[in-house]
Formats: sequence, structure tokens, C-alpha cells
Amino acid sequence: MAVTFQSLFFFLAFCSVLLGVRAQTTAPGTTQRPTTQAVSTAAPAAPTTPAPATEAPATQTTFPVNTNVGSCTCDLTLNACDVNCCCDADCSSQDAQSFSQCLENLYKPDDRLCVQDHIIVFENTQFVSNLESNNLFCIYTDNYPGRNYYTGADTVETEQAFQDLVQTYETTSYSQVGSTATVYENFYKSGDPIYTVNESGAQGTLGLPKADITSNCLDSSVAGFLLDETTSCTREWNSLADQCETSPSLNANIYYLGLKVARTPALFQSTLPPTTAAATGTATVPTVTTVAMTTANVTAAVTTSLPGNATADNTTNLFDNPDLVNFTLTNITCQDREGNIVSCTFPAGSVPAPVYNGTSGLCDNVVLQVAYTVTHNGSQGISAVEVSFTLGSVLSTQTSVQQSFAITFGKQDSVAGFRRSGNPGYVVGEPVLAGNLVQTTSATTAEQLRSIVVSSDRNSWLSMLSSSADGSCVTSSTDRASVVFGEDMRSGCLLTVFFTNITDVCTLLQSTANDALLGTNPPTHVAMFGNSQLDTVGDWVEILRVNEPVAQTTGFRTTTCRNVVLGMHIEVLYANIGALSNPQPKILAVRFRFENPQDITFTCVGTQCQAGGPQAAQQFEVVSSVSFIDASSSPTASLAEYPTIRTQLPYDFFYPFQAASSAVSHLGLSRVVYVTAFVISALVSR
Amino acid sequence: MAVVEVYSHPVLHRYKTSICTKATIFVFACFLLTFIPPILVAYRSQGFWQREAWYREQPDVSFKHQILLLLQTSQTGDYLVWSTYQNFNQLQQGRVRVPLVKSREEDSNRDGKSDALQMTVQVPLLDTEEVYSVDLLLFFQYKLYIFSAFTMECMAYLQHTSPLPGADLTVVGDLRLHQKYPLGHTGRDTRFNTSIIDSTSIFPSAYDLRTIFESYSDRNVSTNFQTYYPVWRTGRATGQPFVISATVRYPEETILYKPGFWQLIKWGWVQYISILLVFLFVFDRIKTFVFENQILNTIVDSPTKKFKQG
Repeated sequence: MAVTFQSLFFFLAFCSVLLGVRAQTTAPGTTQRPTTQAVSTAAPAAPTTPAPATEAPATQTTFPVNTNVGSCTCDLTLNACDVNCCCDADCSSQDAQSFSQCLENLYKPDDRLCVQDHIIVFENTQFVSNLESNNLFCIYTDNYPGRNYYTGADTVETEQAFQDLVQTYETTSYSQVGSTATVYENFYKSGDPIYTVNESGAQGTLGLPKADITSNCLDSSVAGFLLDETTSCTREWNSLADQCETSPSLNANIYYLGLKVARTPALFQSTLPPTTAAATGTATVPTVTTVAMTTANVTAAVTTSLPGNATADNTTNLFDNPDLVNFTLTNITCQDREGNIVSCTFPAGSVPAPVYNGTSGLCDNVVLQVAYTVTHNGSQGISAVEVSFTLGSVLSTQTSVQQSFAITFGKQDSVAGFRRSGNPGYVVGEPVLAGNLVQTTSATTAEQLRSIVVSSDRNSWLSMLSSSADGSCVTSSTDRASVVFGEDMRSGCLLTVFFTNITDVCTLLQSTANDALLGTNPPTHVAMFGNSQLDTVGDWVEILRVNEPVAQTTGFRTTTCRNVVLGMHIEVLYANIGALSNPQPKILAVRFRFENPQDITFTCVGTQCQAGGPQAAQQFEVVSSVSFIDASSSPTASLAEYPTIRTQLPYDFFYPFQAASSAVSHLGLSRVVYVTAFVISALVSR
Repeated sequence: MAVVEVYSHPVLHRYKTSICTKATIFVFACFLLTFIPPILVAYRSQGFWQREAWYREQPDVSFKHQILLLLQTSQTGDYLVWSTYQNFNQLQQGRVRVPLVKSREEDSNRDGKSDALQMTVQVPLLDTEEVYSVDLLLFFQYKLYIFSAFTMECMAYLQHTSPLPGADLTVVGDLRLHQKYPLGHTGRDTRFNTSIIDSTSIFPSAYDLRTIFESYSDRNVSTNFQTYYPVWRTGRATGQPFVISATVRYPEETILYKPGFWQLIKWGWVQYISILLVFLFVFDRIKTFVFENQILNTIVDSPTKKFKQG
């Protein structure tokens, strides 16, 4: 033991000696090198001063190398005494006596020094020892003073030298905001803005208003080429009576009239006037503005451009260019105040401007929806733009209305595709594909054909109830919430019953609840995959229904309805298939689980009963929920068993140690361990 | 002829003495001074016993699909509520407005533990109602596995108030673990696996936020929802619901725990031994010096030359 420690000590001592020797040998080196460096750094400074001397003797103030140059930084007033500046030569001794403190040592001294020697130089007070530093060591003598001084602050004479220094030392600054010039390509690429030309010749881009910082519409938001998008945002007003007819954003015409779309951006490559054209005084300099739907400028342009066009100057108006595509007005839908579609009262082919009806207080023909359909031909550009509107009436008491905007892109001469919910597995957030099974008889072979019929509106494939604005149950199918894959949902609505009629309306109550839970025409089949074919019935699973209400709801006493079902839960069982790295969810089963029938009893508490009496209302919640249950089974690793070592000795190997009843022919492992331990202990004790 | 060392072994000198001599006392004192001061040095230089330690673990969090929502719909005290607790809804009656709730827990790295909860709450509102404040309680089950098998029910509190009537609120934040005391290093810990809201209660006090928060903050281990970037947008259009969008992330946590016995002993031993080695070496040299030079008289039993000194 001692020997090992001794050798360890010697090793350590040897190492320390080595290190010590190294330290000693390197020490002179470090002292030597800086001195030469100090000279070399001083050397380039020398030629800079004589260089200008060849022309004019404009001498520059030079400071000696390695000195502290700011000897009295508080002396800021020439020929006058600065208050509290003890080193100011203009201060008399009487002045100095009135000073409360001396300000000159504002700079931070090097706290690694043992003795702050500058204090001796400037203040001539006692040495101050560095006693507060937490370091184990302090600097006693500094054999490389150049370390403490700046070098190389030479004046920059040329632009090149300036640029070199900027590139070396540049950090971020406010000056780097650069704007790239718009480059007009030969054809549109996806995401490019769609260029438009106004009747006045003003160039712009097709806008798609969008909610931004608030829910209010941001009109300068642009549509991207080939990016289908649907946005909705709010239009607010102060007084609808005044603004109904004047507010441009409510007028449908602003969204298409007097506007043409450039077939390709290449149009602007040639027609963009050179910048010198502005200097020659051409009257119409096309200004690049985004075609903002509401800005007053554009509305003015729309209304006044016709006469302006007639007296066109010698430069041809860009609006007449044959490479521009007109908007085609296709479809106008009219809504009444409740959102029901009504027939429009105006002739087709144009859209009327909003009209305020003072007697009814309605602003008619307000734009609620704008839908652009752009037909394109790849790199050939845009071939047609269609626009359709939904107009409605707004009551003057409203302060805002929601508008929605949509743009869809279609390939020329192609049929509209069916949007899948996944390929093959469902994509999270896409609607669950559901429909009804129908049987038809084939006309040719008289064979029964089975297929699935799904709604054309993908958001109504599988839906669940949602409450109306006041919380009551809505029976209309349009307000139902779409069930999308992967999202657990819960919603409900309130059924209000009054004490007086509760038993009368039991049946009505149940049917209202059922309508709310199931909706009209609930689907019977759900697609296993997001891309299941409608005619491949095998790819569709039938929706199971559990606990479906069968018992008739009956009134009981005067306050109770018995056997009311107020809830239904949609449970979707799915599992991932395919590679672990690319799981594709497949729906295994869907179940509509109804809640158990319950008795609902009118109860009121305290003052409710007294105040309302028989008119007292009570609300019961109708609940619906959707849950997605992942039933994926991961692969189970099947490993080979560990190899076993045969630890068998001849049966009589330990014959003397075995008990007399030698029924044991094989020795167990534990026995071997015991014996080994015995042998080892015998060896050690020897 | 060259001489080659073919083998070597140290020579063992034995120094012998009777029990009551200076040498015995010296050896005994050396023994004490060798083994006891390292303990003192190790202990007095702090950190001898590792009282607490840290480890990192991503918790296994699952949303319990329990929600309590409170909206202030006017500046004079009108409000709307909704919760997944039927007793609470019964209490509030006319003020209940059932929202459309969508939630999804996503496991972005597919390690079997959810990484975030995405949820949307759409509250249908009348045009006369305006939202000024949102309080939303979400309840989670929180599990840790690596050291103690820890399970608790915990809560995320989303809150925003604005003087401006809102159209939607979007929050993104982390569900952070808040520990007052270290967890154990082993065993099952279900101290806080109790429901935060007593859903069986029919009294309003059980659903009062003050009561809930007071008892919840009393717990030694809890979670809080940390968000620094709530976005409150104004300009709700007529007929549109108020929408709350929340992303609650479940980040990996640094968890404080009390090390177990063997971990304590291991680190204590490491510190003790490293100081003891120095003492052993020094006292070994001292003893060698003392006995080699016979400063304290002993009987030297040397294999080469044997002599006695009286």
C-alpha cells in the first residue's frame, strides 16, 4: 500500500517539476515577445504622420505609445475652472478647497493590479492595495505594459480603407433596410401576386381581404397564384344609413368592375415605362398601387376613368392591352336576413350597388361573399377569371358584418377534382368521410349495385350539433360542426322547458334532442381511408349505434319526463398502418353511443320558484362529443433467448460432499456456486 | 559481464514494541489523525451529503377533457360560464352557454408521450354580448416515471382581460412543473392525485376560482401555465362566436429530488477517499521517517540485519 502511494507521490512530484520547469522557461519568452510586438505595432503608426507632410504641413496631434492620454477628462471648459475637477490647471487652490470631491478618476481602473499605481500619478494619495478582489492572485509587476493600451487608431484616408474597416468591424445598423425591385417573370409561379390593371391604367395586384391585427379586413392582403384560400373578416361602420351606399367595401362592383388581370407578368416587362418618362412630363405615369378594395382612390378611379379613357393621350392605356383578362360575373346569390337563399330581384349580368331603405332600416345588396375562380394554363398564364357574389341585407342596428373571400384555381379544360381526406390514411384536420349506402339496379345486367353516396359539401359528411348564439339547440343542418379527423370535440346546446308544459312537451323534447344529436339524414357508413372509393363498399365501415333510444318518452306526475336521451357520443376507433416512420391512420370502427335514458325533472331553487312560478324556465343540456381512440398496436420485439451455459459436472464429481440420499444426479447452479465460494475461501485463507 | 535485474521485491521492516509505549501512542495518534480529519475536511467544505439532486424528464401529460370556462360579457358584471361539471352547470342555469370545444394532443416526435395540446373553444354569443375577460381552467393528468412514480392531477389557468371587446384570444405557452419540495427518489407518489375541483359538490364555493386556486397553490407540487404571448383580437363580426385558441406545450422538466441512501453514501465516499489518500500518504511518510530514524524506540525486525535497541 505504502509503496503504491510513494510511487504515486513521485509521479505527481515529477509532473509538478516538469510543469514548473515549463513555466520557468516560458516566462522569459512571454516577456520577450510583447516588447517586440509593441515596437512593431508602433512602427506602422510612424509613416502615417509624415505621409501628408509632402503636401501641406497639416500636423496631426500624436500621442506617445503606451500612455494614458486622458490625464484630465473633467477639464471641459477652456480657461475656466471646472467644478470638482481637481486636475484643472485653471482652478486656484481656493477653488480646490471648495470642491466636495474630485471627478477625474471616472474611468475604471484595472482591478487585477495589486497596487493601483495611477492613483499615485494623478492624485498623489496613498497607494491603494487591491484587497477586495476575490482572485487568488493579483498583478504585482506588469512586464508587458502595451497590453493595457489601444493600438492602431490611424486616420482613414481612402474609401477603400474605409470599406475594409467597415467589413472588418461592421455590426448591424438601421441603414441596412433594402428594398428589392419587383422583377416581372415570364410567367406566374405559385405564390406570386396576380397583377391587375385598372381602367385608369394603374397597375396593382389582386387583393383578398383578410383579418389581420384585429378581425377587421386588411385590404392590402394579396392573393397568391395557385394558392386556394378562403378568408373571412369583419367590416365595421359607424352609421349604416350614411355608409351603406358610400362605403366601397360593401359594394360588389369594387371587387371586379373596371379591373383586368394580367395573363402573365411578362406584360409589364415591356410596358413598364422607363424612369425618365416621368421627367418628360407624361401625364399618365402608372403608379404601382395594390388594388385596395376600399381605398377612396380606387373608387374614384373606377367612377371617373371612363371619360378619362375617351380622351386618352398619345401613350396607349395599358388597360386596352389584349394580354389582359376580363372578370366574368358568373353567379349571384341573394340572402335574406336569416341567411336563407332567396331569388334576386335584379336582372342578371350586373351587380347593383347597395341601397339603403330608410323605411325598413335595411341596407340591401351588401356583399357577404366574394369568390374568385381563376382558370390557368400552367406557364401560359391565366386564361379566365370568374367572380361570384353573395349579397345580403344588413339591418341598420348592426355595427359590423362578416365578409368572406375565396379564391380557387383550376386548370384549364379539367374537371373539378374530388378533394380527399388523406391518401391513403386520414390526415389530421381533414373531415371524416361519411355517407349513406344506396343500392341501385344496373340497367344492363340487372345486377344489384351498391355504392356510397356522400354529400358534395365535405364539411357536412359527419357532423355534430352546435348551439346557436343564444345557446339553444339548432336544428338546421348548416350550423352543425364538421367532424375532422384526430380532433376530439365536445359541444352541446340547451333545451329550455317551462314548468307549465314540461309533461306536454316530453315527446317534442326528445325529438328536438334527437334532431340536434343526429341532424337530418345522418350517415350510415364511414370510409376506412381518406381516399376510399365510393363504389368500393368494402372500404367503408358501418356506423354502430349503441343504446339507441327505443322506449317512448312519457310524462310522469307533472314535473318529470321519463326516458329522455340527452346525449350522443361519436367514438372513432382508428389504428395506424404502414411504416412506423410514416403512419397512415385507418378508421377501424365508428360508434354512435347514446347516453342512457334519464328522467328529467323540473326543479327550481329558492327564489327562482317563487319569482317565476309556473313560468319558471329550466335548461337541460344536450351533449354531443367526438373522441378519437388510437388502437395502434406497435410491433412487439421478438428476441431470441439468451444462450444458456451448460453447467453440468459428472454426477459423482462432488461425491464426498453429496448427501447420502443421492437421488440428485445433476448439480444445480447454486450448488456449484457454493462449492466455488468454498474453494476460493480456502485459497484465500491459506 | 552485464548485470541484469531479473526480479525485485520490497524489504519489509517490522517495528515492534510493547503496548504502553510512546511508539504505540504515536501510531494510534497517527491512525486517528489519518482517518478522522478527512471526514472533517470533506464535511466542512460543504456539500458532503448530497441532499438534493436534479434530473430531466419529459412528463407524461394527458388532458383529462375537463374544462371550466368563464367569460365576462360586459363591464358591469354579466358573465357566461360553462364547465364539464354538471353540478356547476346546474348551479349557473341561465348563464350557461355551451361552447364547441375541439382538442387534440399531438405527439410530434412519436415517443409515446404527448408534446402539446391544441385546443379551440368557440363560444357562441349574441350580438349584444361582448367579451372582456376570459378565464379558462384546463385539467391534466401528470405522470413522472424515472425516479419516483409520481402521479397528480394538475391544472393550466389561461387568463386574459382586456378593456377592448374581443373577437378571439390566442395563447401559446408551456405547462411548467412547480415544485416546493424535492420529490422522493423511489416509490409511488400519489399525494396530489386528487381532484382539484370537487365535482360532486352542489355548492358554488367548490367552483369559486378563489377556493380552487387557494387549495391548488397550497400543494407542494403543481403546474402552472406560462404564456408570454397572448394575442387578443378585437372586431368580432355580427353572429360570430368568440374563439379561444390555446396551445399548451408539455416541455421536458428539470425535476428536483432527494437522492437515496446509496447515492448519498457513494458521493460521500468519493469525497472522503480522495482526501484520505493525501492524509494516508503524508502520515505514511511521517511514520517511515520516525521509525526508520528510531526517533521513537522500537524493536526493529529486519530481514537482513536484526538488532535490538533497548
